[in-house]
Amino acid sequence: MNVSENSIEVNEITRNFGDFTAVDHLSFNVKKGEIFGFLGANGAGKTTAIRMLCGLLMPTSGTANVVGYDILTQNKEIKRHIGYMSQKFSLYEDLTVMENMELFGTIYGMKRKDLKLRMLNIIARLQMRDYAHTKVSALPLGRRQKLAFATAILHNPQVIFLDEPTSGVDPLVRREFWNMIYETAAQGVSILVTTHYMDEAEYCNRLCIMVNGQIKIIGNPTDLKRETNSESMEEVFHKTVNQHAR
Amino acid sequence: MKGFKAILIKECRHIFRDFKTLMFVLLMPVVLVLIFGYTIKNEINNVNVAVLDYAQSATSRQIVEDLSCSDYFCIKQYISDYHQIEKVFRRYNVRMVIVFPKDFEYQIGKNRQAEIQFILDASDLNVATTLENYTTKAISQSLQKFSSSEEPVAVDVRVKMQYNPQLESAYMFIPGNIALIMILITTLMTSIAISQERETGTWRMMAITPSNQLVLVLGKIIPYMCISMFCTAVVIVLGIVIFGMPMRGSVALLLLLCFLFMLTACSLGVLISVLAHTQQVAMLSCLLGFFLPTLLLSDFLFPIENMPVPLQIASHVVPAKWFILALRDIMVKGAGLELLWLPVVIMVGLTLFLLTVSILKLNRKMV
Repeated sequence: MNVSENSIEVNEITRNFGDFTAVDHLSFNVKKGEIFGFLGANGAGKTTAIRMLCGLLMPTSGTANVVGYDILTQNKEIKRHIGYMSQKFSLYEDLTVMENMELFGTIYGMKRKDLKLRMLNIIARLQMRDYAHTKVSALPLGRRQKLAFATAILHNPQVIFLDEPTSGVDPLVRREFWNMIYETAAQGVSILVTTHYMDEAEYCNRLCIMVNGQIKIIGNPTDLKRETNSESMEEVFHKTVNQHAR
Repeated sequence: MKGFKAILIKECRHIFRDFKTLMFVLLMPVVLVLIFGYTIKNEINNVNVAVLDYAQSATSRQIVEDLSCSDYFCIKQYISDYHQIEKVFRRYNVRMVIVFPKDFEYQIGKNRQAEIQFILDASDLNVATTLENYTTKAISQSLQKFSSSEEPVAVDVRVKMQYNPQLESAYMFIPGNIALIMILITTLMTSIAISQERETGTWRMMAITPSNQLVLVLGKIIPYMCISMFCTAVVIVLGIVIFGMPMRGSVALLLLLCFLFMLTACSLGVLISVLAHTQQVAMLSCLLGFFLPTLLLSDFLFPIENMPVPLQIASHVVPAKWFILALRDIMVKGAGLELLWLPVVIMVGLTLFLLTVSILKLNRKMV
């Protein structure tokens, strides 16, 4: 385990699919406890980048460390220490809330006792005591997304990847969701989140905007707005994308 | 290993909670066997037959009487003229006309040999062929009985239906049904189950966990393997109890072969789900790409010897063909490994090939 303060260090990673370059020499760091935003139009390469950092996809070139482990050689260790939640709701719908958490906890090798305690804890925190034995398919979307997040942090990961976690969720639930994200980050967990909502971009400590597989602009929201002479993140986004789009 | 158990439990929960599908899967073998058992009948029952007897002799009358005594034939018409044959076929739903020549009795008395003509309605080839075999055999028996009353050793019976004297169709369709059910349950269900997880995104959730790909897939398919072995057992028992299928060979060998074929079907299911992105594509590929060729090229419904050479060659790589052949030989002939080494070796080869390909593809492409 390294002692550096970064939990993600990305150095010039590139991924080609045939002639198409999905991710083009990407470099950035994410500190411990930092909420790092990944912005970009559809097809800008956000998901491909995340998949590489999760150890699901090998980069064509370049290197990266996640939680101190090399993505080229140690993807098993990486998987043990990260959490992931995607835009698609991805828990098992015909299992109950408890069964879903039990399944993922067991697969991550958690001890039975710890798992039980943590599950009860989470259910209490999500105020879902009445739903513990309800099938997930019967839950409203907002609750499901929160449950998916809780499941992703069940095994105490040091880095969490959130791939458009709030798409299709109402503003109230999004607010609650971001509270959960802040709470988690406060415990020293790094969070890398992609989003289409520009108000959410403001919640990030730092963010980058990707166009055609490259990072065009990176920094904290206030600096970015100043640099580009913009009033809002929305404006920053449009200026960046239009400037670089062909 | 704890993770493996958790996945196994999860998959069983899926299966038992989808009660309709489960019932469908468990009842399908029974329904299939009953449908095949009572509809596809190659054996003959109460077929309408006309007789044109120019000989009018004791022997010819005796033969006709013997035929009409059996359940297989129903003597519908006696005609006296060759020209009436066409009319009889058209009007009376007659499938066959038996013609005795004028010198029938004389030839029997002189040469111990006589000619009888069968005119068959060959528009239904299967029935015609079977009918010809039946009648030849029935008449030979009748002749033997008749002549043995005068002379102890008389007419030799030429046709002998080895192993399946009644031409029971169960001998054909029970092994065939086992293959079909294995494919439907193992290949179809596993490929649908896996591609469903890919569609909903849970597969990626699983891929992101530290557990091994192979463990994930095994945990996923083992429950279906159990169900398909159970269904196979149901079909075998039904075949023996209801349709009188014999079980002359070794049960252990039979089960071993079923297991082998199930592995083949399973690896195909995994392969299809790796290549197909949605449940619909997976299902169609299973049915068109695997189920249909199996139905057509496995010697189950249509005899391979009658097919054009390219198709005959193609049939060699249809795993079900070898499986059905081996099953039939074990159950009906009581064959052991010494006779069945070729199909077994080929099946092992095909299984290993498909397993390797599907595992390789899986590692490369699954996320």
